Amino acid sequence: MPPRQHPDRTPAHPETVSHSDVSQSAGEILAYWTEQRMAEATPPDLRRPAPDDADPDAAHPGS
Amino acid sequence: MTRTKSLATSLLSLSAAAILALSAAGSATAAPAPAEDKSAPSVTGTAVESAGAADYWTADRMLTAVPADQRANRAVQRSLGLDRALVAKGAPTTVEPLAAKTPVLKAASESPVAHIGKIFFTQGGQNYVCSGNSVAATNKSTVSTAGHCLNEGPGAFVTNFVFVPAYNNGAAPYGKWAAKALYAPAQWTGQGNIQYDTGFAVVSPLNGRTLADTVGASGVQFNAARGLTYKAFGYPAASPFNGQTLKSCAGTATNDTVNPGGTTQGIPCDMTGGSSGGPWFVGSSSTGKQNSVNSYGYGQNSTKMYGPYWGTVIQQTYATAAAS
Repeated sequence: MPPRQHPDRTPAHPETVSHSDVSQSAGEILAYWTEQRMAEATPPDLRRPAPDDADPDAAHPGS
Repeated sequence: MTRTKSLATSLLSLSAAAILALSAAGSATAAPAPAEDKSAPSVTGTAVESAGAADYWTADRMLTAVPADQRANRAVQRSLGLDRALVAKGAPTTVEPLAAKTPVLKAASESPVAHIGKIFFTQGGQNYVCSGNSVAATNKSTVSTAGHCLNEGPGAFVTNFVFVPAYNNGAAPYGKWAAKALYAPAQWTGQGNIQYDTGFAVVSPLNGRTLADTVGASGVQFNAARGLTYKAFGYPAASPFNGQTLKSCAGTATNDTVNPGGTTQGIPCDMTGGSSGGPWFVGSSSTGKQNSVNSYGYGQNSTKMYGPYWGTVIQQTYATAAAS
């Protein structure tokens, strides 16, 4: 299981900005990205459901 | 299966109508017209269920189909002796040609830009790709991207974050820059609010040099007017793209009318996943001030790319990262 880095609030703008100091070294991160891993990495889905794709039950919970 | 219907009656003689009928599809029929009705031409049509016809034409049947010349020859023989005046009658008429309708949108191909790059990261055990840009900062080491490219929104920050400027078909001409800190608005990390889908990574030096000294860095702009014209860049990887080269879109920003309550803006763009986090530059080139990032679209064939409005909260996030 890879490490999960949870947000910490920063002193400068504690109400608006969160940040994470990376626990891995630069060498570890660069070593992780083998040619194969870079080739197999996939895009996150940036598509939000179109209005027509909406679940009618979800849109109208009373129906 | 076909259905046949007669659409009009005839001004031609019965024999001339027969010529038209015989030259039509075999199963079509023509309703004989009263000879005295000279007000409308005779037209027959047949509604065809196209799916069946398409299935019928296997490769083998298409190869063995024979020329229809003999049928044409028979029609010529039948027409001999007919009154040509009956056929060639009416005002000269032309119908203008139609150009093939090609998709208006298509992200443009770009040569690599030194300060724009591809991002790789790990989240939930999966490796992902996004896009990013080197931005001007006191630390000379700050990369802009989408919030969802460095934090689950809401949830944990990602791991193994690396920025590859000017990535091109696997080449990394300026090296790979590992992140040492990640920043995002609390509205993104805490609530996953799409209005704040922006993040900044601070990267470690590489071979003793900073990122900005190596590839340059874009100026940034906050609290700008709405409705500006932008050029957006990214490495779309989801079909029909492959994420190996830089692409761009350009256009004037408009409000999100699907979810009109927010502050995001959209430009005409069909870039897909992988372009997330790519920079929006005010104006028409990558030398403009950066003012947003690729964030989201709607549905599977979106023709608009939306980006967050860079207001005060995102400005504070940038300032915090840039000064770290």
